[in-house]
Amino acid sequence: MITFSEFKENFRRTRPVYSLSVKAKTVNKTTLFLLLGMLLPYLVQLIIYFYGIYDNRWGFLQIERRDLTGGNFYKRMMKVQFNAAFPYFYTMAALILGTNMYRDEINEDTISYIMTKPLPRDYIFIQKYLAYLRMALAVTMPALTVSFWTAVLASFIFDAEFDYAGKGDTLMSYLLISTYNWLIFVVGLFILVSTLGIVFVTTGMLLRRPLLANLFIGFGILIEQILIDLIDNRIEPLYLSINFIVRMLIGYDDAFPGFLVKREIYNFNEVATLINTILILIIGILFGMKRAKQKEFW
Amino acid sequence: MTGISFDSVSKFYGEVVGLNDVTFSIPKGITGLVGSNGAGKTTTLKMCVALLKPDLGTVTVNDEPIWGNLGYLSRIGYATEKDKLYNWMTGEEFLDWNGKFYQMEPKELETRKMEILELMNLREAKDRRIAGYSRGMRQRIKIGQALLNNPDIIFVDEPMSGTDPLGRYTIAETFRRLQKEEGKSIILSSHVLHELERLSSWVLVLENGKLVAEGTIHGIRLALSDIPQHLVISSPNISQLVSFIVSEVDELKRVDENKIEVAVRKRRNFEKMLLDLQQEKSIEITEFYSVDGDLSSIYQLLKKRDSASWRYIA
Repeated sequence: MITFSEFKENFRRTRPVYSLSVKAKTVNKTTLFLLLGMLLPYLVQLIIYFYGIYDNRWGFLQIERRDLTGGNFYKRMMKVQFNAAFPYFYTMAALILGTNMYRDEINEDTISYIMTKPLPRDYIFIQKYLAYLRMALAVTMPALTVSFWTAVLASFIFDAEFDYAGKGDTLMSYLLISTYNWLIFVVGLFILVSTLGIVFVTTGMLLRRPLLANLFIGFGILIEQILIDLIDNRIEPLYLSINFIVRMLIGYDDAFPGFLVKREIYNFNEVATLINTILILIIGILFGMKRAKQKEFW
Repeated sequence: MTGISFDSVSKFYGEVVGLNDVTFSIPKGITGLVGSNGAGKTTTLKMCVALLKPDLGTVTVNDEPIWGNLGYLSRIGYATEKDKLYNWMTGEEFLDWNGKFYQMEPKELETRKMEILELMNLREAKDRRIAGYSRGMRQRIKIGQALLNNPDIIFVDEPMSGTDPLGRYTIAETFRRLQKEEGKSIILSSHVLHELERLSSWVLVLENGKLVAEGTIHGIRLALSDIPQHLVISSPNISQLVSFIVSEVDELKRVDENKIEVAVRKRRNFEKMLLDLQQEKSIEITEFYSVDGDLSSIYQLLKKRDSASWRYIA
């Protein structure tokens, strides 16, 4: 059994792996692309708001005209969070960053500069995971924060109804409750990227071509639905794709006919979610550390 | 000896055999790994630096497994064959970052870093991004990071790859000096056989995953006794000399008026005979050299063989 001081020492020794991985991802163009990409659903929503494209010209998208005046717009911003950002965009960011945390270095063979140093490899795994976590939050958090606070402040200024904004007479009470609500979102984001990430980082380390496996892990329900729709031949595949992508971008409720039924899976109990998260993290980290010790680098 | 031993080691990449039942020890000094593409050179090096594990057999250092041996890893340096570096770093940052893993004091790291930059002729380029380095400079900074911790054993895969003549000279001189003055052991794998020949005191020849020869270059050539060696001899008394040796050689060819080329199987005996002729018959020999005794020729001879059926140890 390892002592705490040993853990601390090993953690300290492998710390440069963390700083290197963070720096490497910070200067990476993909990260910038992801950072901006996370804002895409909100930008599309803004375009829709200002240009009112819910008219007959866009009828082929099967999007009904919606009332987006007043508080409805801000409500929609939050729907974008739940219907587009969390299930698709943040998951995609976690997938790309997590998968490439090891895989980029293995493919480039720069991994040999790390692995031939006198470092315990299980701790290298921990540092890589922490670097992933930092980058995943750095990429997704700005979009979450910008969209939330834009909606909160705008609803305050225009005195519009917005569920997640604070309700109070003073600006301070308004901000406090809004901050509390924002933190709930942040915890949700953390749960999402940390649990998905431990899987993505591990597969990125172990598998030679982890992307396909991770696409199934990240978007399993979605892929299943696409396959069912294709098999049923309910809609032409090309039309289905265009329709789906546009609806997904704007966080449309029923981006997929029948998909909402499946989404019952997301109705969660907070305590159960927290326990699940902790369990997945512990099992994932222990498994990843164990496999990292045995992993060969071709 | 360096203490590194391969004992009946095999490595498989799916159905492809990387190494096939290989046993050897790596001596001190400069050791060259010779072989064509896919012969098992990189696999051997990667096992030496704990990037790969054997599927069968053991790879040990002083009877301890190399895999997971952090004490051993702290006293080795490794430069990969691939031209891959962190391009966004400057040369100095790259060395700095590598040094952080060796528990070096900041002052010690600073001094060592400057020594390496000087040694690798990169001092002026230290603040430039690696992305802007030439191929030769990249090769030198890669080798430089392998020397940062002042290792006892240095493994370099294709050290001369992409370097210009000056770069080759810098690298070769560095290795030679490290071995001679500081007693380092250096294990090199290279396709540039004449460079390897000039540097290595010991060679390991791999072919199709099997070790087909090991020893000094001269020793391996002598061990190939079933293949005649081609020697050139010059003498003012060439006719007299030919009359004495003609029955002892496999082939004899006149190169010019005073020069002949002979093919002999037992070179040592032949050399002794020539010495006797010089002393007893006063036959003067002005020139004597082997035309196929260099590493490149030996390697070509070895390649022609069926590697499964023989192994030369010299």
